[in-house]
Amino acid sequence: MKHAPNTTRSIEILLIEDNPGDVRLTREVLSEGKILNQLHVAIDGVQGLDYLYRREHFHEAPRPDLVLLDLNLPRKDGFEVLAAIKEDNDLKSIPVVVLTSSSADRDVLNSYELHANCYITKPVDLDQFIEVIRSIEHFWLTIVHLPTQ
Amino acid sequence: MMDGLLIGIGLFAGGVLAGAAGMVLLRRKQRKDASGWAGDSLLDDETLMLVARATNDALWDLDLRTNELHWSEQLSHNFGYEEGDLRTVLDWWTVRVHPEDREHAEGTLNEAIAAGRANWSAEYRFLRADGSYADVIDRGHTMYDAAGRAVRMIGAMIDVTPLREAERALHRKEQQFVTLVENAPDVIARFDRDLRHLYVNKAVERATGIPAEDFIGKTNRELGMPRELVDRWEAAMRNVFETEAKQEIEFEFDGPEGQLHMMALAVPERNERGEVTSALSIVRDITEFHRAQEASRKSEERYRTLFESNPHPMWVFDVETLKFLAVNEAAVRKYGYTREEFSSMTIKDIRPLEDVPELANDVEMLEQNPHDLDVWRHRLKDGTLIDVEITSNRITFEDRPAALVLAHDVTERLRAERALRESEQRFATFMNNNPAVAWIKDADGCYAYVNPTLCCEYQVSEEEVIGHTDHELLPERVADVLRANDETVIASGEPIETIEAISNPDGTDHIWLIYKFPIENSRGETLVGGLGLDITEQKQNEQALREYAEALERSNRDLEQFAYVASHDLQEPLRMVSSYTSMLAKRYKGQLDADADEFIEYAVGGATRMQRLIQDLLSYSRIGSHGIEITATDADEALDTAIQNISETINEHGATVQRQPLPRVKADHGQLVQLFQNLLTNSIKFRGDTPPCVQVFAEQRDNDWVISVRDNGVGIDPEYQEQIFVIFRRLHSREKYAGTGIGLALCKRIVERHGGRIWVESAAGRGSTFRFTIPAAEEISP
Repeated sequence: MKHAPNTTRSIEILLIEDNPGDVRLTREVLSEGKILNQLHVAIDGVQGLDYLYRREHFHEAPRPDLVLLDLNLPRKDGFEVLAAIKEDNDLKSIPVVVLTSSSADRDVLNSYELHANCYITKPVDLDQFIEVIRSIEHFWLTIVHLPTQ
Repeated sequence: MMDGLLIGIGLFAGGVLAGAAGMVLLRRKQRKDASGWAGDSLLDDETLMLVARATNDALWDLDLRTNELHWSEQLSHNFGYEEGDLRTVLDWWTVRVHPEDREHAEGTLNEAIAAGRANWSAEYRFLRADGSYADVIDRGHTMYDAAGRAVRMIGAMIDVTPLREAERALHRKEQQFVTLVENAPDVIARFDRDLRHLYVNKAVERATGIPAEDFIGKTNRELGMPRELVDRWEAAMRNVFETEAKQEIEFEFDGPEGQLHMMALAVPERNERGEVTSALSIVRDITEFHRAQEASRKSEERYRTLFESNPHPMWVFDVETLKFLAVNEAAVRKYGYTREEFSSMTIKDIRPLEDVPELANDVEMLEQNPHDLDVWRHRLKDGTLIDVEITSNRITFEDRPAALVLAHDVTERLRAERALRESEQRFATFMNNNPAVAWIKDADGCYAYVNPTLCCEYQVSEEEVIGHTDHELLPERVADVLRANDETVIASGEPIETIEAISNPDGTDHIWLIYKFPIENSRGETLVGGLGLDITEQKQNEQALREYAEALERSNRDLEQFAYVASHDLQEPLRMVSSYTSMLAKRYKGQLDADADEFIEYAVGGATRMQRLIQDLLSYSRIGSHGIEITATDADEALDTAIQNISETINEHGATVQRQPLPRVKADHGQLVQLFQNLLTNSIKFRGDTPPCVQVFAEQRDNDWVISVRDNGVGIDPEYQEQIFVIFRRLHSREKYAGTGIGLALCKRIVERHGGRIWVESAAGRGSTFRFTIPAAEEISP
């Protein structure tokens, strides 16, 4: 894209999400997007952190440019993952977008207190969901200048 | 004076006799007649006889040689002798001299003769013919012959009986006076014009301690009497001499026997020329009298004071006329009549008219039992009736039979007694009919009073409880607790409220609410009063109610939690259904057959409705589960926000919102926005054929505002006006009006959470007016 300074390489996105429906939906929307991207998926909090620390079979995994984090996760929930990322000097520069079905005020507040970069409630309506993913794509991957590794 | 007179006569008689003797001797004549006159006697001389007749003296002639004695006629005349009684011898005379005087008479006569004296005189008593004695003065003149021998004696015997009688009487009288004066208890003194004592009686010695004779010739001043007293005394005495009138003075005098109170009367004494030459004073010791008088005066004063200053009304009335004779100050004050008014009243006038007939009876009763106390009714001048306790005593007042009455106003006391009786009756009635058990225990924990409810409740008689302690009546464990409670009340002096479990005699457990309080008795001891209410049933009900409320609350909370969680968690799968059916429609519409397209359409429609339903349900449950924050909120601002939020709907329907200024209310701003939003949406959604027009306005009602949202929509049949606020209730098919049936239920819930009420006024086809009440932010001044 003419506006994006880093379209020459594929953007690495880590989606930590246990619901395969959402994973598929996100993948579908991103694949139809204008940005060249690589979507990596972790299905619970533990796996998410394993990916980020390149543990187990993720030792070859690329460092993500953006993390899309669900809050309601098995084993370790989204807040634990968020806290771990933001406490790690290496990882804390990665933008984390909390993408969850909860619209509870408490969840929103907690997330920002743990230094989430933004909080988005998943819309029920498909069109709105597509809109949201497009917005994330546009804002974080086109407008925002992300740190280089 | 009398002495002088006698002396004068004697001299005169002597002169006569001397003269006469000379004459007799010169003209001697012999005469003898039947009268027995001695011949050759001077007495025969006629001239001498005439002299004798004039003087009425009995002349005599004694021949000392022969002792022949001759008398003039005056002897028989003066002493009652007949001629025949007379003897011309000296012995006749001698035997008639009173035996007691004979020696004196004869002795002096012989002595005078023997001594050669010419004159003899003696006074003696001489026997009369009738046997009585006369007082006589007898004088004789002795004649001597040339040889110096006494030969003859001539004399005159004068009857001085009347004189002597008068003298004796005078002397007797004088003696009586002297005795009287000398022995008088009063000090009697005579003063000359220089105020010197001429005489003073013996009484002065007792009064002054100075011998009576020391007073004579001295003034009181010279005697050293107290100066002040002397000044007064002498002034009074000088007054006597100057005014020649009697004077009276009273004075105190310090005598040897203590202080004396004296009263002196001084009178002038006049001589034969009527000149005041001396003053006689009589000084009487009136100490006793004065003391008695003083005592009597004081006593009277005391009784008068007792009467006058008595705080109780007192009066004296005439028992016959019933008239008031005297009243005291308290009576004047109490009854309101002046003394003058009282003096013309009878005791009937202070009785109420209807009690007057009883008066005679009462007075008679008084006569019979004079000291009885009786309560009568009296009427004051202002008409007030009072109850008086009367004490009455018969007395004599100013010589009239009277009664002394003391009236004690007992109106207040009787009123207090009646009040006390009433109060006691009330207490008894109150206690006897009280559903609470009640009792009073003394400081030792013994029951002093129990009400019938207690006896009934515990199936005991009063006697079984009174005088006994809880330890004698109840199980020890319970009694210990009750006694400890009593002691707390006594120690603190404060009431306490406790709840105790006590078994009834039938063995059932009862819960009692017991209220105990201190009662101070007149001896300063603290008793403990108690009231007990059997609250077993209430307690059970309360417990049941509390359990029910807790269950309900839990259930509500669960339900809300359920609704929230359900709607929240439903979002997830719903999103899947909705997203993938949408995805299906997006990617494969027109690529499958017509049936598939229709199926997909229904699936998407259902998912969409369900999505709305869940959203609304979530809002609804949030009203209850989220705390609301009620503050003073500007309803106008809330309406602004609501209109802005639904601007799309408004524009879509071409609706207009007409509004009047809204007040400030006590509300949760967010909920008030939602309320307006739902009501406006509702009005616009159920529109008629004309473009929707919604009016919003407020009216005040007491401290609330009534806010109305009026539309020109389809209206609601009165039959359904209640139902529309019930959740999920729909009046129209989904095809005609979309909606979940939650909107108005949500409104109702919001209004009720603000303590208000919501209702609709409408008729089918004529629009609806939704009204709700909400508290005003500030007190509304009328």
